[in-house]
Amino acid sequence: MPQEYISYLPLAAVLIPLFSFLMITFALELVWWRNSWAIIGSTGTLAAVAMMYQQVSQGEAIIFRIPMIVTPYNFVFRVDEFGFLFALIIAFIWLAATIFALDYMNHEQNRGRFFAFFMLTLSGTVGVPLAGDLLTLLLFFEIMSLASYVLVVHTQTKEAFSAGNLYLYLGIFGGMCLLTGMGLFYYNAGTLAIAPQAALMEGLDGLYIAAAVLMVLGFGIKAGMVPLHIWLPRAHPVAPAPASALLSGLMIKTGAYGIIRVVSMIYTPDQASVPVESLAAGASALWEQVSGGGYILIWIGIATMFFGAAIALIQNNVKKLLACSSISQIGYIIMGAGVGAYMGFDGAMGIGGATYHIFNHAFFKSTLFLAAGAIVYLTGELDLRRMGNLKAKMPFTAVVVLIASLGIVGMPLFNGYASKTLLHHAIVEAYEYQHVYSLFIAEKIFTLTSAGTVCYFLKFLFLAFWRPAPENISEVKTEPLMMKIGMGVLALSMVLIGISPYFVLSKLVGPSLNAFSLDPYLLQYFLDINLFYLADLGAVALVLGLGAGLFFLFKRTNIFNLQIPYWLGIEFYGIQTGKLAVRLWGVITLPFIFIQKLFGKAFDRIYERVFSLLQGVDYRPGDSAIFRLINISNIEFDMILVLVALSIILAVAFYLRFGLTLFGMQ
Amino acid sequence: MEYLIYLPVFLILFPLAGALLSALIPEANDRLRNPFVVIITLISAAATVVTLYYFYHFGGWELLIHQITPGLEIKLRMEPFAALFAGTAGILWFFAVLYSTGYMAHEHNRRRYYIFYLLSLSMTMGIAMSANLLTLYLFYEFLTIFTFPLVIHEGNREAKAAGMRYIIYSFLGAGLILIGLILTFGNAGTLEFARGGVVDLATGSLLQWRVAFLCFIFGFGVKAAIMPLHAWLPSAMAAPTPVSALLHAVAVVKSGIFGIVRVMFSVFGITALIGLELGFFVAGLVSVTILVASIIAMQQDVLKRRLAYSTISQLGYITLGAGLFSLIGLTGGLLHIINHALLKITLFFCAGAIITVTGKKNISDLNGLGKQMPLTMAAFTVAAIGMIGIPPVNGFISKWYLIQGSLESGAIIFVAVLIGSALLNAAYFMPIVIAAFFKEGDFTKQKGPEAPLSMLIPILILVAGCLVLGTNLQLTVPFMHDIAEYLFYSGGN
Repeated sequence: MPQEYISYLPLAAVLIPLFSFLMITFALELVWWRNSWAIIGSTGTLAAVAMMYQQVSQGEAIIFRIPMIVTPYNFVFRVDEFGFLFALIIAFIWLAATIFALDYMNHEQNRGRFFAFFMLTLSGTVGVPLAGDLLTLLLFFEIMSLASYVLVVHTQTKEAFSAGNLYLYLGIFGGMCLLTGMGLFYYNAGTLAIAPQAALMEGLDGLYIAAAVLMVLGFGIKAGMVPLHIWLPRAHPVAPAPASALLSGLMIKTGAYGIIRVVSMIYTPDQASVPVESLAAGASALWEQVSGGGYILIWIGIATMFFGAAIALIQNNVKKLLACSSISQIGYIIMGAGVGAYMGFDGAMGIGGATYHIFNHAFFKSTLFLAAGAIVYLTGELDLRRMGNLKAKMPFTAVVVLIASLGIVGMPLFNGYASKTLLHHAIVEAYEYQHVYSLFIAEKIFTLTSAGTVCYFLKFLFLAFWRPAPENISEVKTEPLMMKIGMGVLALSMVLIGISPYFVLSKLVGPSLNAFSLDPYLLQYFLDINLFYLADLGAVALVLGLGAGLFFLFKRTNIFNLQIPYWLGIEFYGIQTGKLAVRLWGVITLPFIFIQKLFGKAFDRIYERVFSLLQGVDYRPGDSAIFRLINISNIEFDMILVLVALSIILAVAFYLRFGLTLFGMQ
Repeated sequence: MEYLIYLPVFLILFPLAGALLSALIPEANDRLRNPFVVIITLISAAATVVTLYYFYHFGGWELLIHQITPGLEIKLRMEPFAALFAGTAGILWFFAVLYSTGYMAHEHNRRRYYIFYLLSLSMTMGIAMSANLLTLYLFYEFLTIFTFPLVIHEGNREAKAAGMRYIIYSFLGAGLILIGLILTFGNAGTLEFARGGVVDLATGSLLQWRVAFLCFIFGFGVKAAIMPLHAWLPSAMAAPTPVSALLHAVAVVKSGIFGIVRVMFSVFGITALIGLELGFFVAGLVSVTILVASIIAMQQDVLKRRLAYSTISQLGYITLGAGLFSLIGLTGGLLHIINHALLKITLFFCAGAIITVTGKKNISDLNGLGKQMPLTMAAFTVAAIGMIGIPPVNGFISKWYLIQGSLESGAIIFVAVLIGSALLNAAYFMPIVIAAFFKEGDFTKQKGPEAPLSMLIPILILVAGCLVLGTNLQLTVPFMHDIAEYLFYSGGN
């Protein structure tokens, strides 16, 4: 176990944005006030996270415990290298998005509310990787889920509400899945720590598997895993651009983070209790079961990436295209996590690739969403079919988008190249691990999906920036300064990451794998890997060529404007099921309603009879004033009489029972 | 400090005396009555706190009030579970009365209202601290009688029908309790509450014990609104909101729950309960209540009725916790007594504030209300999140313990029930929040406080309480665990 170092920093990282949230809510409409608090909140978080680097880089885990806050056990922050990397990305990109939002939000309503909940969401999101046990993680996860709802429905249009509802209810459903899974896990293992559990060494029983499935489901909803991705292409585009950037760039990553933590960390043998030499064989039962889960996860990942890319191809709304692309990219990450679990002790390449891709995708997807925001801000247009020649009108954005797109398609020397190559290595290794033929097919789908990615980004670049402008295009202004800074910072970091993959690998991604139970030899192999072998470059060239070919093919056949029928979507079946459930409920309750009506009528009759009977025996007060006062209809006065009598009796009884002793007379 | 042991008697008699004195204040003299009743309840609350403090430092004690015949006694006892109920009721009553002074300002018959409001407090205290079934039964009946005028307060046809329904259901339940009481007394020879129970299944026939147990469950189940017996609760929403809030979310329904838990653990005891083999019957019945009530709640458009069905569902959690016969489950149930009391009273107070300020009773009229009443709706949101059971609001923690309890008793199906109910809760609470904050409506920002301060302040204090209890579990969990252990294990008093 790494050494532990107690520090307030994780708490500070969470509380600073929370405090900003409270401050902003006090004066929602005061522009300088809310802007400065938003900046203070993001900068403070970044600073608090960055200050942890010293300890974390020395292999120490930062711990902070408060007993019985929110969880009945310990409210724990525990930051290891993996969590630190996450928190760092979140805090950094959040700051860039906040800077971008300062100018961007000028054309939106309810700005105060937006910035307030922007900060609250930051508090939740950054808390997820810092959390030290499952319940603490759940707390931040739920804060993030609920607070980001406000960002999703920000525009308050009908579309936003319908997307927001889906987001909210699926989010709550996911949260409840997590809660159940964690409850099951705690009941079985007796602990909530995010660490390999000695209790699992004997292999898993049904409850453990159920707990794992529920937790992966809960995190998977947030990650946009097929078939639970339906909220994502609707919710991400309706939010204002800075919020969509964070939803797509960071918040879905918390889902991936959770999946990796559960599958590759909690459900692995404990390095402390098993000697390193026998880790591979020492817990073969557990490894085998997790490996089966990993295989399923690989295929979920493959399906997610393929479907995401397929639906991205036919989108004409910029933000929808990017959201579908997010689904596709999260598929890569889930596949990496799956490979990690599938290969168990030898899974360094899978987890490492997934982590690296999380890191990269966070950068390029937030940049792309911010750029989409810039396009909306300046042209008021989201539909690709009505854009064109933006490279001349907004060159800065064009360059930023170009850098991000080259990254996402995996062009060598841009940031996506390293992680995609690693993930490609991972899937090839997974095939070679046991030569399961289906994984060979999976590798081919991987390549095809990568080509699809190239294809839809060519579409985006071509339609929006490169082709001559169509008629009656709306007028274009230039980007405000803050937006330029926000996008520029991210683009610059991407270039730097892209040209120094070995630095990132050895300083950020590599150390983050220390927390997992991995073969040290393979870990070293992963760290020393040469990314620029001819075979890898060839693979990229193939992908690029294939993508370009597909682009021309699709453009000719006009497949980009294809409309898929409504009944093909999962949502359609969800709605039909809902309608069916309502009808079923109506049928079930019908006899009850009937019985209720029958009894209701019968009882009414009985009441009436009994009452008229009682009224018959009621005395008539006559004309006397005293009798009129003491009447059953004068319930107030009668009650007082009864009470007075009662209290006299009670007082006497009390006096007889206690009074004598009380006043010392006995 | 010798005379402090008479505090339980004081807690019962003081509100009673206060009620009688407030009867002397003329109807129109609000300027005297409002401070008077607030001070009476404030002193009651303070006395409750002193009692709890004394109790936790010196342990429990009992007071014999009157002996009818040997074996039949009117007796009070301070012990952990009594402290829980008395503490919750005593403290929340103060906030409810404070709120009432604002809410009732424009209502009629305020004198009658306050008299019975205080009398109900007195009877609730009696229920909480009763030491045997007879005393419990006595105060329980009086509580029904004294809350009846509150239910029919409006005096219109609807209120009278609701009152009639209330009284018939309640007396039906009381009759069942009486049968159970007689059966118990006949077979066990005592009505005392004792740790680990007084019932020995070896004496008397199993059938009779089962009948007695079911009589108690259904008898108290009327007030606890177990599903076939719940109909009085939604119709009793015709009462003024503070009455609904306190009596139908906190005192009356919780007295039913209190009775069920008492009968289960202090009369029958865990050994006998397991011997009866009726645990899963009760838990199953309650599970149906939880789910069906939640589904019905979704179809209600009147805010208070929706809250009433939510109450029915949430009360099921507590009974479920007791019916699981596991220590952790019982801890969860007890936690939910406090947590639900706080959350539901907040929700009702918000509903009442909305009615007072805007006159809107239906959920479909609440679009955009967040502009006019941001604080009220924020409080409503927090309480709704707590109801769903999402951290960091206090509803989460009881749910966690209930899940653990269900697992401990080996019935995963109840976990599914709890989670399903949480999702349904989300489905009927979130639309209100969404409509209030994000939909466009004809509400605009007003000058000055959004609601009368006497209503707004209790709402804010209570919602802060929800958050504090939700984040600082040191305040509740250890105590509830002790109480659950006290109820669960046998031993001396």
